[in-house]
Amino acid sequence: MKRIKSVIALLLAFIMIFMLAACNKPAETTETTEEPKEEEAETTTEEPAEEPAEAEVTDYRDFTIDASKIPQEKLDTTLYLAVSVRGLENPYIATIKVGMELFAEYLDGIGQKYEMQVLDSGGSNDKEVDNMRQFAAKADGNAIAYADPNENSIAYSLAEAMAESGGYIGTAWNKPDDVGPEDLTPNWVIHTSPDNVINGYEIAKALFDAQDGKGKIFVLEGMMGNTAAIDRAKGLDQALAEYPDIEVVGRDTANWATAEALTLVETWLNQNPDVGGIWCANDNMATGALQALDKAGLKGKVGVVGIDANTDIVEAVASGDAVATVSSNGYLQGGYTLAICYAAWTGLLDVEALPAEFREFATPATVITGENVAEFQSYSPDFDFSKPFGCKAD
Amino acid sequence: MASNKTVDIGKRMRLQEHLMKYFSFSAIVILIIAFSASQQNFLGKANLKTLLSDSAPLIIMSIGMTFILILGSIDLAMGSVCSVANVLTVMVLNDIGPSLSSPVLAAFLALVVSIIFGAFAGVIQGIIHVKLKVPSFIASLGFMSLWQSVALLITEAPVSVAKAMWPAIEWVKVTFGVIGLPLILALIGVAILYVIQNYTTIGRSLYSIGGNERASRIAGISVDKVKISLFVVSGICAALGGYFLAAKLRSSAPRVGDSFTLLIVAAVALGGTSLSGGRGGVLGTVLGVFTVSVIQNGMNFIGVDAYWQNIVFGLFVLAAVAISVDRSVRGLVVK
Repeated sequence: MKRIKSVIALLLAFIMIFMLAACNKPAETTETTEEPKEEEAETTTEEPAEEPAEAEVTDYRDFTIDASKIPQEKLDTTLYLAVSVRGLENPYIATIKVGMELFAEYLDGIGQKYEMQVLDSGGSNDKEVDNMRQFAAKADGNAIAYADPNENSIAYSLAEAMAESGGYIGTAWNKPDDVGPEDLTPNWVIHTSPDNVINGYEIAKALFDAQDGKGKIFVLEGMMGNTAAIDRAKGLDQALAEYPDIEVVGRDTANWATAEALTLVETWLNQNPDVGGIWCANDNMATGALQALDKAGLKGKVGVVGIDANTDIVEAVASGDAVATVSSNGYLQGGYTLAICYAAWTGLLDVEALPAEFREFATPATVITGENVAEFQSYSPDFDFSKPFGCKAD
Repeated sequence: MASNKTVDIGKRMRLQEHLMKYFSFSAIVILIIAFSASQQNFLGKANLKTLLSDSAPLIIMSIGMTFILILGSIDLAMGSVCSVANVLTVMVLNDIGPSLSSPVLAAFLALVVSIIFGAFAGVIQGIIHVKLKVPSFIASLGFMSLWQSVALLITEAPVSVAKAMWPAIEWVKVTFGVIGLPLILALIGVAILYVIQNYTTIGRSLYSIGGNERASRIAGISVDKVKISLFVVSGICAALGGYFLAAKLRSSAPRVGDSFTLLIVAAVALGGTSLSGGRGGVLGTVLGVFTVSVIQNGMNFIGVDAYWQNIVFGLFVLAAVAISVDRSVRGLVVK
């Protein structure tokens, strides 16, 4: 009996799911969404007819979202906005969310209907891909997203998750070399990243100069296999080659995490209390390093550098406890990536016609040292999203 | 009087059994109605496909764990066995794959390697648990960290499946209407375990051992052999989970299984399997997994904050277990 009941229960579950699906689908959802889709197809085919003329004469840097050209039915469709990130507890990542909110203000200005949400992977590849697929499915093609893949290896799966339902996505920071936006045209619109090699190099130079070009250093690297971690370390190695009197006495990954950095530096300090500087691949780890130095009574005596411009490290730079950090401008990354995807979704931007250097490009970054820290602290982001490629660095 | 009392207890037990059995089922129905009423695309084709195919790895792993929990044991190493199988799969595809005549062959080889590894992991864990009398909680805790490190030693960083090998994992994208091939394969797995559970000696011994191990031993059941075989089953299930995840994410990640370990326990508990052993079954687990999937998917749909998602999820598990615990047993000891 029991067995039969459970079989029936299972069967019923499936039947219910399918029945509900069957009732719901043809009745409203697909039909109402399908219609505008057909119109979309028409408008997108019409649009490029005007576009190329513009595109040929002008640089894409001058490409403008002309709100008056956006079809009214697009403006009336609810567009779903998301940023897919590792965890909002990281201050840098929180600025990406603010970037989305800034872009949402722009959408308010032009009368676009939208809803926005943060997809938090909590550092899990599987969850990030599932989140994206579910988000895309909900929006049914009317979605744009910024994604910071948790690891290189899932960049394609994330873009694919979005492409399957016809939305538009821009990725940042991490992706493998052998895949890119061209593999999923038009849905994978762009991949951008600040130049990690240069950033790693610049902070290393700032640190070594503060040490007068000599002495011992510790190195805290980012998560193994992250493009950002690998390239920042590359930049460090370039700088090390230029400063032969700098000696690396401890080098390991702290997985971008404060707690791991704290433990590593504490251990290393026991062996090398005379260390002169600590190079950290991000500011979260720099925070851990500073805590370890504080415990050992060495804060302010040992130079620390990081990347991301977290508030506490920027303050440490201002007070002289840290030497330098880099602002990758998460506001700009989040906001402009969505703006470019928006242009693609409205049909104003023909992704297929977009040249390669506008599909993968670097976004600007600022090295913050004692000299310009005051200027940075008074910075408030103010962007013109109608020129979405204004975020290209070079 | 006495007979009346037994009838009462019988009735109560039956009610409880029903509550427990239909908890996941009714939860699924209520959740689906609530989500689809508030979100028009919730039961759209795209999301239904997502919902049904994303559950496959969790189903595979959870049914393996079901047997272990019915035994009254636990296997905390499943997540890390899954991770090792996951990195092994991608390693076979990328390193040996190109020298084979076809990607399909590579996919098959990777599958065989994963299964062998899963079985091996199950055997040694089972032997250590049974022969050395190490409680399964501790034995599997030990193996959890052991396999975690092995996975990290094989590949420190996540590796993508090379583009040339993509045909080997395309099966994961095959769908029939809204039902994906991964789900069908997972359900075949469920069917096989269902047959083992209900129509084989191992299956019958399973409930008997879970109910009362000493009595089973006296009754002449070869308890040790059954236990080891079931750990092999759970090892293979964990490894298959890793194989599925490699295909789904087109990459390996040495820590991919970590987050699954407790999710599996939650899904099995939601499915009405008692953590004290002796009761439950794989079909209930399938419902448990769908409950987990619907909760997670639905909350993403509404846009619930990630941290709140865990709170809601935790409350669900607590409610499910509180309802399913059989408090009528005299002198029930909760450990």
